[in-house]
Amino acid sequence: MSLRFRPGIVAVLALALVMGLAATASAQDTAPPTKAGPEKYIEHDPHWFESPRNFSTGFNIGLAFPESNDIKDVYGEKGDVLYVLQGGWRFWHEFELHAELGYVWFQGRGLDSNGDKTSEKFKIHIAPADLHLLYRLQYWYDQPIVPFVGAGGSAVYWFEEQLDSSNKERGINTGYSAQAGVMFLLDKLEKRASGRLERDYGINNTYFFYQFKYAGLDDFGGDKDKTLDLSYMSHTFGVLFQF
Amino acid sequence: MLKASLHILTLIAALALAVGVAHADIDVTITSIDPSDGVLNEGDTATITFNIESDDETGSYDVVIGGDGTPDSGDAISDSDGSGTFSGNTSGSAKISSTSDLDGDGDYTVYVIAVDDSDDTNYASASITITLDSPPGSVTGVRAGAGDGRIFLEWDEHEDNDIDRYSVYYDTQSGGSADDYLGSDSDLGTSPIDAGLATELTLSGLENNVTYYMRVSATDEQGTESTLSVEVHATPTDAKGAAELADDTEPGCFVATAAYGDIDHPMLVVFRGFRDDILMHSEAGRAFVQAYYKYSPPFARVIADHPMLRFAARSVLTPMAESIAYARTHTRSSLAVFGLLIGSALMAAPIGVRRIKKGRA
Repeated sequence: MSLRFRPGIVAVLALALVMGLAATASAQDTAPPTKAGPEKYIEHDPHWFESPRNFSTGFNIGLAFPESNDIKDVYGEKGDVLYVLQGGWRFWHEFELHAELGYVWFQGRGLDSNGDKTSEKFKIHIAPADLHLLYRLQYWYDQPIVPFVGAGGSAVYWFEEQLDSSNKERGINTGYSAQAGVMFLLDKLEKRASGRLERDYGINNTYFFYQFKYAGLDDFGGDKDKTLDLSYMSHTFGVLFQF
Repeated sequence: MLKASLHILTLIAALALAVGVAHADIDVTITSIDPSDGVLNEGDTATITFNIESDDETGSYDVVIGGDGTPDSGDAISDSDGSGTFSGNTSGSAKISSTSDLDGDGDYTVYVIAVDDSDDTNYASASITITLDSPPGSVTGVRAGAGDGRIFLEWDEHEDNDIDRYSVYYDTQSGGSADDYLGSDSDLGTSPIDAGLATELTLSGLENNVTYYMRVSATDEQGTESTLSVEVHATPTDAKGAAELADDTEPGCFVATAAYGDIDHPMLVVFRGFRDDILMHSEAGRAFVQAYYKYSPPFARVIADHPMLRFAARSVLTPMAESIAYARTHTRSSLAVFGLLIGSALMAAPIGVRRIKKGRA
């Protein structure tokens, strides 16, 4: 199965899901609703109440694949390792203001005026930053599998250098991005450890997750004569903590 | 008791005399060696000449490689003159073959041993050192890659373990021997360039769009240089990364490119010419072009993925391109036709409006 999905469809699906589920979100709460979400009992201690889980943080790693010919022509189509740090603030039910910061670099060979490869090595460093509205489809505590979707704006800082040369270029692009994925609750696997994390550090849940993302980073289709299109799609796996 | 002691003393004296006589009776000297420096290349032969002097002694001699100069030590050489007999004073010579008698580069000690036939403890020997030094084989796996004003050269490491350095020969013309390579453009200096023991070299400071020809040689620790490698060539050229290419990219015609599938399609050439020669020369035209590039890519992507849409787009674009091409080459007649069409429309409009009004009434 190809790892590349149609970005437009993904973005549309992500937005539709967020909009559609927003109407049903409030119906899922079973206890007196609070900003932080309903409380629950830890099963081995009926007097223990879970602390609010307002925030999330995590890191993920995977592969990013360039989507634009600007990058593919020099650096090829194969993916390279993408590192991501992320965090979020759950501000209303399961809606979260979510931020991500990533880093990936590609290496390739420059082209001559005929479009042929030369032996000059180039390297491009890309650091994308996203701000998304994220929705986690979590309807009860200890839900073992939690899908999520999100979309929003992005900016990317890029730096390209010709190796063994003083030739360097840099810039900032803006654009949009959308993501979707699924989280797997790890607490069930080791309840004592998860209980200790919660008591000692306030970490309510720990998840292992997969995330797919598409980012269109061409300054919203700006000046085609000058803009370096840094659009990419990525597949990453990571760990997320809710606290 | 006294008689026994005298016998013993006599025996000891006789023995001492025999030993002294044994080494004093025979004398061996090696008088010359060819080549005089004693250094052989692979396939060469060294010739030694020697003298054996003795006081009416007769015996045999052997020329051997290695050993310690004593009888029956060392390896006999293959030359038949490497062994023989002597009587009194004898001169001789022998050939040492690098292929038959020596095994690999290095130093070898050659002994000439002369032994008294009647007393094999009576012998003498002389020695000389010869060196076998084969030239290294040619360097293999030479590869050249073109860069921006430079060439990246690589080659395989030589199999010999006594290589002292590699040398890179270069020039703007192809050559056959080392003397043909006289390049001087590089920052690293004139040809040949000493690369040391590295197996790669970047020839920088070269001129773009000029083809350079290169060969590599290896020199061993004895200073023997190999034959030149196979010639390679490369042409330095201006290399661009993604950012520079994006700056230089001539905007295509997205919808039209998606429709025709080939950026060099004749219809696209017409549209690009119309854009560059007509639209870009007016403010309205430039605004139209800018808006087109900003908003057409999503439509272009959809069209590119659907054959029916591509066909529909071509159906619309082809007559437009044909009309533009005709108008640009037949300006007067095009203006006449255009004027006729406009005139007809202007005349027909009031007639049409009147008919519509009559119809309503």
